[in-house]
Parts: sequence; structure tokens; C-alpha cells
Amino acid sequence: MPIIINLDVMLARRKMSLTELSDRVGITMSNLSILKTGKAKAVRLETLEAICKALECQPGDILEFRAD
Amino acid sequence: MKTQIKFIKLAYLVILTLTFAFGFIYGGRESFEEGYNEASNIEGSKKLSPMLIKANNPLFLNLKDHVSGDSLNLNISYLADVRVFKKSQDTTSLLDALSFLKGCILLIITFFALRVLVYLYRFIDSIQRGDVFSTENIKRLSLMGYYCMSIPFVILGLDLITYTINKSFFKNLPYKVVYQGDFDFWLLIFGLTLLTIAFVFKKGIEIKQENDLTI
Repeated sequence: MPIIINLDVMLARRKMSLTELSDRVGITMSNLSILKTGKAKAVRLETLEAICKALECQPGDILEFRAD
Repeated sequence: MKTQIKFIKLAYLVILTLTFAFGFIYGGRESFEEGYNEASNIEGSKKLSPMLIKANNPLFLNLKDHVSGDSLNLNISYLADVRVFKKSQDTTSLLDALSFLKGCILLIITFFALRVLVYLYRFIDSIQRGDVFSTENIKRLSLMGYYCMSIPFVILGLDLITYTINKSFFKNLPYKVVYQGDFDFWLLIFGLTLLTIAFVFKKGIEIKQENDLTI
């Protein structure tokens, strides 16, 4: 899939663990793990909004398009 | 909902048990009758066993006059005392082989019918457990569909064999056995419907996976 999710990069920049993000956003660890590993088929706008709020960043910081 | 599924499961179990019981009792009775008739052979002639005169209809045997072309329906009870000429030596081995083949086909049909019932039970059981859209269910539905679709063809083969056996019995008489095989279209349509449902389930799994992977 050409859409890359840079969640781990943003987590490292903010020095935040996945568990902490899970607590703040209200998404289960397994779902965050699916998102992080790039297995997710779709992301809801409200989830993206919550992640951006928690990480204090823009959607573009998390999502990236890279042509195959 | 739970009571409904329990009721369906119970119905499947009852049908399964009855199929087993009926298969054994009916098969046993037929074998006994055949053996009994074999034992009461009179020199030069052979008493017709009920199993062998069962052409395509269990109650009637359709005969046709060679010359006039008139057809005649004989009830099985009238045929109980009919004596036909003894089979010649070379046709006996062929008839034995055909009878063996007929038995094998009957076993295949029984196997298919039982498999369909078992799959139906497992299917309803998995639905009760909440595991509706699974690959196992697709496999079960597809196999049930293929079994249901093949049963009419197998029955057609069985009819042909029975017809051949009966025809050889009546070759010395001025009558000819009329072939009256019927093709079970409804079972074929039912099989196709099951395959369509299996395809819908396949699409359902794809949609479920997509939904599960939407964060």
C-alpha cells in the first residue's frame, strides 16, 4: 500500500509510548498495533483527529504517500 | 433466537438419527428379502425379488408390448408371483456386476445425504457460537452445494442401472421395460442456491475483514 503511517516516528519524537497513546486516544493496543504495522485498511477521521490531538501534530505528520 | 437455533439443531439431529435408522432397517429388510427369494428358486425359473423389479417407481413397473406398442403398468403386488425365465450364464456375471455397482451408487447417495446433514448441523452450530462469517462455513456451504448438485446425476445413473437390470429380466417375455428416469431439478437448483450463498458469505468475510481493519 503506498500510504505509510509514521506513527512510530511521531511517538519517538514526542517520547511517548504506545500504551500512553492508547490511554490518551481511547483506542485499544491491538488496534494501534494494526495501525502502526500498516495492516489497517482504513482510518476514521475521528481516530486521526484524536491521535493528532494527543501527539500535537498534523495528519500529514502521521500519513505519508509513497508511490510504489 | 437461541430457542430457534436449538430447535433447528434438534431437528437436524432427529433427521440424522432417522436417516441412519431407516437406512439400516430398510437396507437390512431388502437384503433379507433378496436372500429369501434367492433361496426359494425353483428349477428353470426365478422368483422376481421386489428389489429387482423396482424400476424407477417403487410401486409400479412400466411394461410395453413389442408388437402393439401398448404400455402396461404392473403393480408390485401382482408381480409377486410372476416367474421369469432363468438368466443365462453369461448375463449372470453382468447382472451381478450391475447389482454391485447399484449398491455402490446407493452407498454414495447415502454418504452424500449424510454429509449434507452433518455439514448443516455444524453450520448451525457455528452460527450459534457467533462464528458466522468464517472460512469453514464457506467450505461447508460449497461442499453441501456440490453434493446436492451431484445427487441428481448419481440417481440418474442408478435409474439407468436398474433399468438395464430389469430389461435383461424381461427379454424373454413379449413385453419391454420402459425407461422412466426422472431428473431431480429441484435438488440441482438447491445446490446452485447453496453455492450462491457460499459466494455471498465469501464477500461477507471480505467486508468483515475490511470493517475489522478500520481503526
